[in-house]
Amino acid sequence: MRLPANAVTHYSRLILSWLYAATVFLFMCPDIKAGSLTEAEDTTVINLSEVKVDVKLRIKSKGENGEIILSPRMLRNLPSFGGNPDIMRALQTMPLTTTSSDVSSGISVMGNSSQNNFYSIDNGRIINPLRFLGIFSTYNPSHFSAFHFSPVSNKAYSPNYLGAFIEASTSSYSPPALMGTATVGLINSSASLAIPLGTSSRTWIRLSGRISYIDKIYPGLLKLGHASLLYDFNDLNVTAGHRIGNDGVLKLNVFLTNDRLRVKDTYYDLRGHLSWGNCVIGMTYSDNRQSHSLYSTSLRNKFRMTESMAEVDLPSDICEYGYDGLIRLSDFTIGANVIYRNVLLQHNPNSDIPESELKNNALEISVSGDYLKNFGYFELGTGLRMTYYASNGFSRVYPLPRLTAGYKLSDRAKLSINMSRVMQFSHLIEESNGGLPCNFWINADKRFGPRKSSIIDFRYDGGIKSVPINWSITAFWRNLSNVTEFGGNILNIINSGYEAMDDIFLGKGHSYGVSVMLSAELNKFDGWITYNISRSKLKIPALRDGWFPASFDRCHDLKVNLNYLLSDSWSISSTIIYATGLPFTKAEYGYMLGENLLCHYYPHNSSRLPDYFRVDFGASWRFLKKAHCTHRLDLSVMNATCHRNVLMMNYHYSGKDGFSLIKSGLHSPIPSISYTIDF
Amino acid sequence: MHNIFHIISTILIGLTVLMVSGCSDQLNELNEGRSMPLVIEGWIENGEKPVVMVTRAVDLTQTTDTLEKYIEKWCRVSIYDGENTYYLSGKMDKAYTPAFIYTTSRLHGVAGKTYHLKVELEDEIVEADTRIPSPVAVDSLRIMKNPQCDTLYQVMAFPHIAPGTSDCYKFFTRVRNEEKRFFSSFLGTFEGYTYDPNSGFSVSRGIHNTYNGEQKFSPYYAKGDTVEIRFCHINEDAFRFWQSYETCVSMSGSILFNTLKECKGNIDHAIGYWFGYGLTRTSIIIE
Repeated sequence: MRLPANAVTHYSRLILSWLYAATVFLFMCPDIKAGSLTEAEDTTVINLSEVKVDVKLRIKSKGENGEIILSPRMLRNLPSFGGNPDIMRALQTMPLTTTSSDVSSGISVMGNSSQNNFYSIDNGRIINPLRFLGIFSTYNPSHFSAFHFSPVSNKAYSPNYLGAFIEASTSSYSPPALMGTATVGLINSSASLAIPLGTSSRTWIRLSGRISYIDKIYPGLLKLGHASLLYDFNDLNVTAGHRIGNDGVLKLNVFLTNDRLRVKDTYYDLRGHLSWGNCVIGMTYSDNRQSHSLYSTSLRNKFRMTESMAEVDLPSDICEYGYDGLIRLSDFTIGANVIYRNVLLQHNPNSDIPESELKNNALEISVSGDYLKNFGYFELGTGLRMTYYASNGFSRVYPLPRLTAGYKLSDRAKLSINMSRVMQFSHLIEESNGGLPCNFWINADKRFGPRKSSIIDFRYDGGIKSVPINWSITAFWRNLSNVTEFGGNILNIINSGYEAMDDIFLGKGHSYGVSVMLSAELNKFDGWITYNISRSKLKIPALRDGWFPASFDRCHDLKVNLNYLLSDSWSISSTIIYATGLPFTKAEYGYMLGENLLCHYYPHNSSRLPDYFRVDFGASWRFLKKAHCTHRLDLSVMNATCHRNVLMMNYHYSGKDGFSLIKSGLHSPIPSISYTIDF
Repeated sequence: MHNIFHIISTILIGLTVLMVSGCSDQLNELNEGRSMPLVIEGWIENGEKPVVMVTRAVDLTQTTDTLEKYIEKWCRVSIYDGENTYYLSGKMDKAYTPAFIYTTSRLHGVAGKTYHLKVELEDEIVEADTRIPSPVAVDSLRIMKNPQCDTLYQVMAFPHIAPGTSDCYKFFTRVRNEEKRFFSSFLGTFEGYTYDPNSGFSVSRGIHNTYNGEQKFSPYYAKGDTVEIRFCHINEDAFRFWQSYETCVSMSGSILFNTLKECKGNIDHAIGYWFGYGLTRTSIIIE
């Protein structure tokens, strides 16, 4: 074992964070009552004239196999940037997820890149719902009733993705009356309206929309180096639902997004017009025994940049049509899944290459069976997914088995082991950091085979019977093959004849770790502490020799989230994150050529940025409750301690100052305020 | 309550033990005592004297000095043209950074000839070869107003390039009385078959370290500027070098785009380049 170089600062912050969290848990929970409930000794019958039932909604709950279910109300309680409660920021505080950098909105789960995650609305896939730099929330939380997060796919009926499953689900019930929410914030506003249709309370429609105006109100806010960035977006959600019989529900979803980014760098005379947009249309039927979904999803990327007189125009898109069906028969679950995916590769529209050569189709057909049997305290499950995949003259059948076993130690404690073999049949080629639309998808084929992963995880879920305190400990190991990384540069594309595919390097990886979560949901207080210790490593011979840490690897990752209800009107929250710095490629030495500083670098990802530390505070004030209207003011301060989290380090030279190291990153607190009306 | 404390404290102690284990990445701090490689920047053009600059690479983790401390002034620099060996003399020249060059007035480049450079310093010897391609004429230069700003201008060059050729070319520019040396024109490297004789090629100013300070860089020219242009016919290794050079200069400070590749020169056991250029000189006044 090795001590980090900056041991004093590292340990003092880590220990202080633990002490803070432990103090809150142990000394600020006046409602903990140990011991079991005892029966009243007095057996006199008492007639009650009025009974008031106080129900505390569970805002975070657990499903099967480590699934976590979050409610929009829980998101609103968390500190947020610009008044935007964001499911991705909340998920970053969950176990098995890694804190991402301040310029990234994706999440890395169980040692997987964020491109391997599967996003959906009511089973309809969304290809890229993430916002630029994670400034705005991924979804409009007022449109949805819950967010489901599964860090790994343990069921054979889960779609073919290596990463986590993040589903936003809409309500399956009609609102009792016209209801809505409107939020006005400093950088964006949103509204949501739920309308019951007819008199039977079985049919409804929900409409939600968001617009942003950060570029109009704060045009100089976003700067990266010499570049000014003007970014805005809007999105629209429409859900129509109808209940059929006692437990069936039919829903139609439409989800449209449009992100626009203009880049202006006067130093290099760089101008960019970038945009990307999702369009998801899906229909789903579900009841207690079965569910069926049909969807169409697409992502269109536009990327046009000019630098001096050189122009780069790189559109690309991906379109997918899918059917997903599930039937539950006693201990068996049978699944079927068909996906047809069409990809238009990134290309220069002025080139002579015909569009037919740029289009690429893939077909995935999967059938699955899961079997789960309870033997009292012991349960055993097995599953098999058979997938036929064909694309570009390449076709194969892949068996993907699953095995799960569990032992119930008590009512609240369970041990389980899960083993899965999973695959993913598309690659995201990332030519940029920050999720710009020059990143594009390709179908797996003979040249770039499907990604494969074998996972094993051991899990212990426990809790205390008499108090709502739960914990989980998960240890996992996974391997990865056919990992891709882009080794070229966006400027190369100026040169005709350049093939971006020639700069895609293949390799393999593995990751392992332990994740611990302790959570409590008490009367006025709830919160959780999550600690991950993990490693994610890759081996890509074209980049460097040997194993190296993945770009999202963080050895230690501690997250504390605390929420306290001061009164009926006031609540406060705090998030504390302390994590090992991300890997980066450091300059070993520099030299001047043509009067510009160039650097020779250490091996890829062989150094680490300084540790990441951030404290966010939030407060919410509910006031003026009249009839069914509630008004709320949400205040947040992100990075309240002004800690300088370094995003990148590079060197400059000037004749006057010599060589100097420039550290770029977020260091100022970001306050925000938003006003919401619920009716 | 006792059980709660016991369980939580067990978890805290266990995790504290785990926390003391650091990330055992291979941190590379191996430069102390290690000799930095030589950096050679040299060129020869038809009809022109050769210019060679020799410095040492700088350990960035150890210093914030200026480049002057890394100039190698006591090298033995020679060029062999196939018939004779010419020894270059070192001299101060503030037109360049570093302000020390090796040159000789006894040798002027000839198109078609190959020149062998040899730099000797104590027990280090580095060598490289280059050939000067034939020069290519520039038919005309035109001035165009910048569409983004009407006080700035761009210069369009129309070199005489055979259509479909795979030969490579490079522009260097200097604004007379403002810049003392020629700089690599920003994005000014291209292959002949990409050239469109109807639209020409935009010749931008070169980015260099002077612009890291208060002076603001613009790739365009202002009214009254006398723009001197060196249009060079270059070899394939020079093309690859200057292309990767432009990418490194543009992208090295970018958070959104990164570049993993380095500039590959043609000098064995050293960094940098020794290139021959088929040179055509021209100039224009922005009016």
